[in-house]
Amino acid sequence: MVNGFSSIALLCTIAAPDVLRPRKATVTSAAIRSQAKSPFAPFQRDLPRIPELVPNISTRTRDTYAMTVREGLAEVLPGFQTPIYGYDGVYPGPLIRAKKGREVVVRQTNALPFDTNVHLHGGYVPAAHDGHPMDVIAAGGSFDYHYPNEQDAATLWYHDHAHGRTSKTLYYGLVSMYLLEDELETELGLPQGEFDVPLVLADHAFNKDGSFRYAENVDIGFRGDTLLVNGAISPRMAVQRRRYRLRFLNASNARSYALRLGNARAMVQIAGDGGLLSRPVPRTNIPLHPAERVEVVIDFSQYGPGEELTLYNVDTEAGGGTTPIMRFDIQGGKASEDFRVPTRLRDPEPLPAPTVRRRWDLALGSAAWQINGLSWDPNRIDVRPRLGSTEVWTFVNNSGRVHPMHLHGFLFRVLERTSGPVELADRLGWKDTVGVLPNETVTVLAWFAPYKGKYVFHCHALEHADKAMMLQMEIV
Amino acid sequence: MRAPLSAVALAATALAFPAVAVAEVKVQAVDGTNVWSQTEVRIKVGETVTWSFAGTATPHNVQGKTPAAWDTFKSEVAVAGPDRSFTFQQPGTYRYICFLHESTMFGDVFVSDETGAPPPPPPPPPLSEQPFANDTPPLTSVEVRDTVVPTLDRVKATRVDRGVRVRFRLSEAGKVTVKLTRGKRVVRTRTVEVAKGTGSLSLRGLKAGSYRVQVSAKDLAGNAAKAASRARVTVRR
Repeated sequence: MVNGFSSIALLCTIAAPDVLRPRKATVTSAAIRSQAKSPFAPFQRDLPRIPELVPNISTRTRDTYAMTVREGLAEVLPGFQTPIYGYDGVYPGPLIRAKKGREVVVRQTNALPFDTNVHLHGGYVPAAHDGHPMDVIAAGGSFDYHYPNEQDAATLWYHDHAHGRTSKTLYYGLVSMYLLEDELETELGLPQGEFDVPLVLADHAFNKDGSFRYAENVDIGFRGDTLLVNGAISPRMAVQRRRYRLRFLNASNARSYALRLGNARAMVQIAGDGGLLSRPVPRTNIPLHPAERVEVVIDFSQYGPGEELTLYNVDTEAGGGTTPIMRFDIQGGKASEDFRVPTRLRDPEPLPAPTVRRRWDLALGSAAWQINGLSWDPNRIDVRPRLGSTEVWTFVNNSGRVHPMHLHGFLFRVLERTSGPVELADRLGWKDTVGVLPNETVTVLAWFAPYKGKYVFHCHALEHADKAMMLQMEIV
Repeated sequence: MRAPLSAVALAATALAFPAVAVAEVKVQAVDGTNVWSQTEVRIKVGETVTWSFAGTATPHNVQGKTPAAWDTFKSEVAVAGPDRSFTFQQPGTYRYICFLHESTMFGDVFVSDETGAPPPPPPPPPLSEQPFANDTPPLTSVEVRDTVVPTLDRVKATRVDRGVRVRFRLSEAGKVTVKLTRGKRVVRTRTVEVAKGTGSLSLRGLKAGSYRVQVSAKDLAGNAAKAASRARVTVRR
């Protein structure tokens, strides 16, 4: 049934409006048919919208959700059922929309045959609810995660973090978005509802029976030959002639992207990992390393009905099926809109002066990935920053691989990097993950607030994190 | 069908070179594509295989994968590390990998018994283990733009009570601009978004006098209609 609908929709799109008819001579129907035969052909499916989870209890100050982490099936390749692990059995998992100042409680029940846990990536969360790699929910058990949501609006996401298994469990689907909203966003009048679109990017490969194919590569990390956006192969999205807010998440194991619209058309970045930037930044090429998020506003009102605009991955590793990300098909009809991107978005907070400098050497050891010559050991505390202080951390990459370094529970600002000037957009906002390029040194200013306790920091290339590029910090 | 054929071929090879006994086989790690120089090594019981890393620039190692009892065989991850050897005492099929590049750096050692009878070939992998590669060709079009110029015709300007009414036809949805000039001064400009087809636009509240009316149009993608039409209208009190 789903197939039938999508193929009808496909025909409609190919039958371009009158204004584009002169192109007909070059695109024959036979060419279109032969292209449509490959299940991997891009732009065949409409962009799936991520389902939004409804709270089962809502009080004046708190929303309570319940979710089951279980196995499921997804139709990724047309005509095939792909086995996945999923929050509520879907990929990507259901979206949670939270409001600043309103607590969210998520009861996670583990229906998988092995341990799992849930890490809210980018959130200010007390240590007991952060999803520490050793803090797991046993098979058949459940746990109530409390998220205070006392931070500014940001695009967060949640995923499995049980140690040693994340490269497989995230690959097989334990990935989902968590959108935290606040009043400032409403005041700014940013696009909402159907014009605010979360997009989960991930690269995958397939077996002949349609299942996800995973091949472990501890050196470079997993690379798939096909790009999925919200679980569909390079989909297309019908857009009205107005502005859209697009929230990109790189949920790939280890692939970096560089987002670029066809003919380098303009995108305006308004937010990064840690929420709104202090002012919008026009960009044509946006690098996106694993676990990073960017939010852009694209103005489709400057395009005519029937026009098609493609978003590309122009990273040096991109090729074949990993180049086209998605396509925007401009619809006809009138769309009236008053919104303009404001020139100022959010005032930066004043920070205390840094008290400590620390250096972290990232390298491949004799048997595993290491930070300062150390691999993950849950019984060892590697660093003890003081609560409320700021520290200057320098990541020195002594390897030929990208290491997206991520701090649990805390945010940082990027101060400098040796590969060139820090992108303006990265200087104007908070980050929780920074891609340290091969043989590069990146310096960040981390702020250890607001919670005490044991957290970890690690490389978010999942094969590196599993083996075992992760250290433990205790905020005292 | 394939398995018996290769078994026949193997038997034929063994008959063709009955006297040649390979004492030691060398497998070289290859950078760049990250592969082993040999992915199939055929030896007899008691012979030795050596894995060499000479001249490599990326870190590798060699270790046993299957059977499970063989995974104790493991060398250190290193750049251009020392050679590592193993002497096989039991017939069977042994898989070796590089820990860092398991997806590409793997191979099998087929150890036959003293008589030279090859071990039974492993069964073909199920569909759930065979790759289904994405073979879509690279995209050719970067974007599809509307470059068709709209036609604006049947423009008629008529006098109405203290104003001007302009009628027109536009071949697609777009924006129509009407400009009134009196002498050299622009008196009034108005732009409206219109659907495809005929439309009209009235400009009122004008003083008596003679006006030049210019009508131009663009489609929604910004393509301008070819010639702007002109007309002259005299408004009376």
